[in-house]
Amino acid sequence: MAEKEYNEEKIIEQLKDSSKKAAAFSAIVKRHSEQLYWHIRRMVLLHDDANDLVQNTFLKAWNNIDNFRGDSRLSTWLYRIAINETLTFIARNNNNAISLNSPEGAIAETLESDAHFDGNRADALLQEAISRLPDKQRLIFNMKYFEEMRYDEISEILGTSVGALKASYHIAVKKIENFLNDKN
Amino acid sequence: MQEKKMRLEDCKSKKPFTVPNGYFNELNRNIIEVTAKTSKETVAPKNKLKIGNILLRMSIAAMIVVIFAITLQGTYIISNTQRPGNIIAQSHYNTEDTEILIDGTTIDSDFIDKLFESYPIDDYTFYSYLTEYE
Repeated sequence: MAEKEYNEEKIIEQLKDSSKKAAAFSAIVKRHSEQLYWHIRRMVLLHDDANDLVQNTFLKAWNNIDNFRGDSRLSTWLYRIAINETLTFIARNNNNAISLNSPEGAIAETLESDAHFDGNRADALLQEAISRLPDKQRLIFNMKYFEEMRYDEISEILGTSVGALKASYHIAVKKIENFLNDKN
Repeated sequence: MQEKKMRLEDCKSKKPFTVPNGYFNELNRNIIEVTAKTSKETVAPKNKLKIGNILLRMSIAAMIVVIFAITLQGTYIISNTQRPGNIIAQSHYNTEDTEILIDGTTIDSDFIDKLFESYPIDDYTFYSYLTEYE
């Protein structure tokens, strides 16, 4: 079955009609859920946490969909909700297995033993290196390196200038390489 | 012999994470079910809608008055134009000269106004606001 063409303008119009709102939101979920899940997963690393957060993201979006003014793209708006949920979760859960307070190497070990991690030791170390970046820098790095977003797209979501994003990404790369070389 | 320095481009795998089979289909289904359930819960029968809203607001107002009456252990400053009964209503009208002092913490009356303006406000959200100021 071919996927119906997703027209964001039409979807936004349908959201204003109470008889079409649920169907429109369903289309939004199908369109964006996977992308948002991976975005969250790269921040929190564990599948169960990412699963909870992505559902919370869409629930929050649903509860506030009437407040969406259309002055940004829907994806941008959803990303911002996801980022808020994720950063709040990370701030609240600093004592769990994946935490900046973990001793060096602990995060990589946790990942290697995780049933939903398919990488090798180098991949696990890379994820640990990334997880040790400051939260916003991690976001920028993940969005640029893994999601291959353009700087202007990242700028729209985070509200940070392109120049600052480039500088932050460059510094993040250096920090990660230094960490990996220390471990090598 | 010089050790080769690792660079980011040497890391090949950009997708080390996996999900259970069929996860995304199930995820979409779950989200849609939860949001549909949320919609049903917020829609009341037409002939009871207005009464339900009024009762809800009255119960929130009554709850706020009771909680303030019970938890107020110190003194609180009441303006000269205090009206008998509802302190919250009074602070709503006299925002410039009303401060409420609860357990040594001064609470801006704008905060109280925002409680009423935040609708719907469930018990969990309301208590979260209160406990932030303890």
